[in-house]
Amino acid sequence: MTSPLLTATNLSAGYRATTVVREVSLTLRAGDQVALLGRSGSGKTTLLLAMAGLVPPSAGVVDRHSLSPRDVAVVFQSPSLIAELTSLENVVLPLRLSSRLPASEAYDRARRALDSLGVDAVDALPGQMSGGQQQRVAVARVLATDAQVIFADEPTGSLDATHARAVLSALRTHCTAQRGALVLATHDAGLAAALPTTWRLDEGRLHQVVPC
Amino acid sequence: MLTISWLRGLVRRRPLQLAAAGLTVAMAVGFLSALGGFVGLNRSHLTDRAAGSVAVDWQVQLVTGADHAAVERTVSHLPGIRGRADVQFAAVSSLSSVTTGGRRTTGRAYVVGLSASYATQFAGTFRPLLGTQSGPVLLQQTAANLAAGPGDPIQVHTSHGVATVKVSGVVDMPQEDSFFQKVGAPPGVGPPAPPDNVVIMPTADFVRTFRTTPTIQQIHVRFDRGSLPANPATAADLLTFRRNHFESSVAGSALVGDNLGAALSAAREDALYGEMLFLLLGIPIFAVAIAVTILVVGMRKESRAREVGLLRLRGASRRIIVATAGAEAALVVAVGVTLAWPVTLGATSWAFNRTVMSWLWFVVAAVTVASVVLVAHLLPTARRSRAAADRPGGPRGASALGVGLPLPLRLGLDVALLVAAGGVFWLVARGGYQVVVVPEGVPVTSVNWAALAAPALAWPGLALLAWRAVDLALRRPRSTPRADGRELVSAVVRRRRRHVARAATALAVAVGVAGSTAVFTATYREQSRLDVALTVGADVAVALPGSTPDPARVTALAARAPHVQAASVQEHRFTYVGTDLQDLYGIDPQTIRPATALQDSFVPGSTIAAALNALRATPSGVLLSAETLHDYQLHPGDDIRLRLQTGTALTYRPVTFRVLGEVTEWPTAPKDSFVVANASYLRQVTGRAGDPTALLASSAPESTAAYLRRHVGAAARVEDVVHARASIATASGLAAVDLGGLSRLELGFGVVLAVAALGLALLVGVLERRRALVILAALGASARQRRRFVGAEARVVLAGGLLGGGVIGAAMAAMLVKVMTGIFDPPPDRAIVPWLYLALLAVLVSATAGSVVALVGRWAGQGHIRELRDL
Ligand SMILES: Nc1ncnc2c1ncn2[C@@H]1O[C@H](COP(=O)(O)OP(=O)(O)O)[C@@H](O)[C@H]1O
Ligand SMILES: [Mg+2]
Repeated sequence: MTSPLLTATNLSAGYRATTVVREVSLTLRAGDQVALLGRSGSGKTTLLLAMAGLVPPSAGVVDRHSLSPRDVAVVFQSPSLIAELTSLENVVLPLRLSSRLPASEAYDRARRALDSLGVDAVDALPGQMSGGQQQRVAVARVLATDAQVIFADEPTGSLDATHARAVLSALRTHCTAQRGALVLATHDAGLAAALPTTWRLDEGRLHQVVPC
Repeated sequence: MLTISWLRGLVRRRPLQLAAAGLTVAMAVGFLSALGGFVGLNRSHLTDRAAGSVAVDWQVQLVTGADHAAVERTVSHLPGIRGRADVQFAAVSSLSSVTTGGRRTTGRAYVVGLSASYATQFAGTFRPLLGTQSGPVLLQQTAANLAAGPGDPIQVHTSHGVATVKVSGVVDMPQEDSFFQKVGAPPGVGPPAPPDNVVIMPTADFVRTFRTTPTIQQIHVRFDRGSLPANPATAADLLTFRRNHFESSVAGSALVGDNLGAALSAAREDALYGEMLFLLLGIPIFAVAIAVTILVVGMRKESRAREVGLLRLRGASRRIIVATAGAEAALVVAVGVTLAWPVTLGATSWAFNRTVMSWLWFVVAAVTVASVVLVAHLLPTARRSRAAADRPGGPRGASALGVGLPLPLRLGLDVALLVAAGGVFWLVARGGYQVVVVPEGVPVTSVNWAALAAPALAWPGLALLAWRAVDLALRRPRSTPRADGRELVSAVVRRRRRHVARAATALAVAVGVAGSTAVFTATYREQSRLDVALTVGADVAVALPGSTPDPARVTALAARAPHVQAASVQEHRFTYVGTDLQDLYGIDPQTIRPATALQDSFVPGSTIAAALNALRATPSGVLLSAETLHDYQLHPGDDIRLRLQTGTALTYRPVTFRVLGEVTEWPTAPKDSFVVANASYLRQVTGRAGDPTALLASSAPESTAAYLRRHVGAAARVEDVVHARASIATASGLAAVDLGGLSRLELGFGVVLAVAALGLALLVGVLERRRALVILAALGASARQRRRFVGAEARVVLAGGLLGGGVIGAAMAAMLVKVMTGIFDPPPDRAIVPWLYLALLAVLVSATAGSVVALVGRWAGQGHIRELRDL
């Protein structure tokens, strides 16, 4: 077995009085591709954000081992694009912020990422695009990075079947190439079945579902 | 009910925003009502000042054969009468005296008879110079003409014979013109030149001398000034009414010379200028205050939009939604108006050194601001609730990207306004800029409203132009990749140019208002200092009477006094220009320039440097008043003969001078005609020196004057500007409108508003971009990188605002100085720029921008769960 990328131990998280995620323990390793399945309101988003370190846990710990913040990427549930930047600029933004790549390479990568998801409106502003297009741009923004662990929160929520498949396979390809891990939150059991592992979240408690 | 509970919830959730909105309302209302306080203060101040310069309020002149007792009775029944005295005038053919140099005879003269209590009842009529006032006294000029002083006998030549009186003293009459006015002369004729030769004597002596000679009989009256209305215009009207009533009740047996009414009428002009100042300086600041209020109200736009959505979800009707917005506006106004009260008191006590509460203005300001707040709340809410009804759950945020120019700019309104302003300015300036019109001879002043149209059009025009300029500057092409993703930062700023341009414009207007006010008031203060310095002569002036034993020793001592930077001696004498006795100033063109403040406007059509050079080159050169040049049809290069007292006999002999040009003002010179010539030439042709005055430029006028008062002896009169400013009422209206308080108020609010406009505009920008900042944090942007995204915008707003503010300030200051030329006497050569204040303003504004950016950087660094969840 490979060494763990991320370990959560007795993780609880929530909002003020309400605890949404209860005592979750899990381990993510390179090559893990997990569907986080749960009904709406079961705490998927909260768990993802807690694992990504964007929401502080109310109890327990998340150990991200040797992962730097830039090695962890999140596809948010609603497309979180900067309104004043075009598709291309939104996608290139994390690369330019980290400045690990030369500018031209960063823009090339961003273009390729958009291309892989079939987004051709590279110069359109978010306000000029449909919800589905925005969601694909948000996914492309993660794909363009070298992130090792991707938390994708309902990334196919507003996509048709064809685009949904393209997004899923692009995310999986990225993971494999990076030797990283993918956690994809969804309420759609069919989509979950497309991934090798499924974790079921119920009332904030995590149940591993062993594939048959 | 829902409204109340909703309001309670609002107070709990958004206390800061409500407090900020209330505070800006308080600022706007406080400013306007403090400004109203200035108008009131200015008016009462002007009445006091105008009345203070008048010694004799009414000169009631009996027509020949009138019943003195009857008139006297009517006078005693006048309301608010404080003092009254009989005065008799007799015109005599001449006065004469016998001196060592021979016999001296004057032309036509006046003898005035006064009751013993006159000097105390009408204090200020006479200024004692020599001797006592117990017996007959001579006017200063008369004493000079007769070469007579206390103890000397003089002869009064009447048609009945000669009477000899013994002079007991010499006096000066500051209000000679009105004292010797021709009562009942038709308006517009103007006061005749006062007589040169006057003897004033107690009534007993007068009666003995002129038992049978026809005399003019007057009753002088002084009123209780405290009971006059504060507004000089109203007070003048009241006196006119009183006068008409009096004249009709004495049935034509007496006429009234209304000196007080005339002085108050003249103050109308100053009062109008005060009101112009209020308009020109006050309205722009109030407009900025309103703009800041709208900005603050706008800060709640996003959260209110969410609340409207929630209310709709809960099934609230549109009426209820609008009612909640109205309730919020009412709450803001209530808080603001409550706070405005202490703000007004604080601002007025700081600006005017006393608390002034003008309720009328307070109410007007409160109602105005309240309507603005109400509209600012209701309009977007009503629009949104309608939109929400049409399109429930529509996408929010992203599409509201403002890039285009607002409609007025697309229509070119800025250019149109500026062209119109320029046109009006040119038209009005062509005929000499005259805002307050004082038609000759009519006791009415009016405002030339067209003259105010230029600044009124220029203000919005310049503001819109600033907007266009910032927009244009941000319209540059897409930038190529730069280190650390800066090209994305500038892309964001470029696409937010509508917001950026609006914020920069708000700042530019605020800075422009503060800057132009600062320049205008600094110029005004300098001119007012100059006005006083002109009356005094220089920073410090040491005037020596002709009898001083060794004047050269004293003037040399004065030149070496502490803090003196430059000194020059100017000699005063009298000269006859034709039959007109005028003051003649003998100057030293080599040394006078640095010793006193000379302005190019003193010598129309020339410059001071050129005029002094001409005097240096032409020893016999003279500068004459416009009237003299006109009356004698003189042109530069012509010769003119002036009669001067020459030799020890002091007889008037003609001397030829060469006309060099016109002079309108000169240090220590009166407002009417006078002559300026070379002192050395005058000494050479007359064989004697005039009365010297040492004019001193000093870095510390008060201490120089104090030193000189101790060292030059009692005969010399030492004056300094600092002292004089507090005590003398200069003839011009300049010193009358006290700008000190107004400018403090303006400059204070100017800074506060500039800082508030910038800080709030940036904060609003950040609130709008809260989501973007959280996304940036989630994407791994460092605090520095997030700050850069905010900072870039702040920098553009700051640069655009300061630059635009500089241009607007300079343009408006130039226009203000021009429009208000009439308030300056003498008009300024150039505007004075108070760099310190402007630098302070720039530093404060920049510091505000810096702190907002730093604050936001820190704020955006903290995890914001709610925003993250919304992503
Ligand atoms: N900001 C918040 N404050 C309070 N409760 C919240 C907040 N955000 C989400 N919740 C609650 O937490 C629970 C889980 O939400 P979430 O993690 O979004 O679930 P999911 O993503 O599975 O739909 C829900 O019951 C929701 O109402
Ligand atoms: Mg969710």
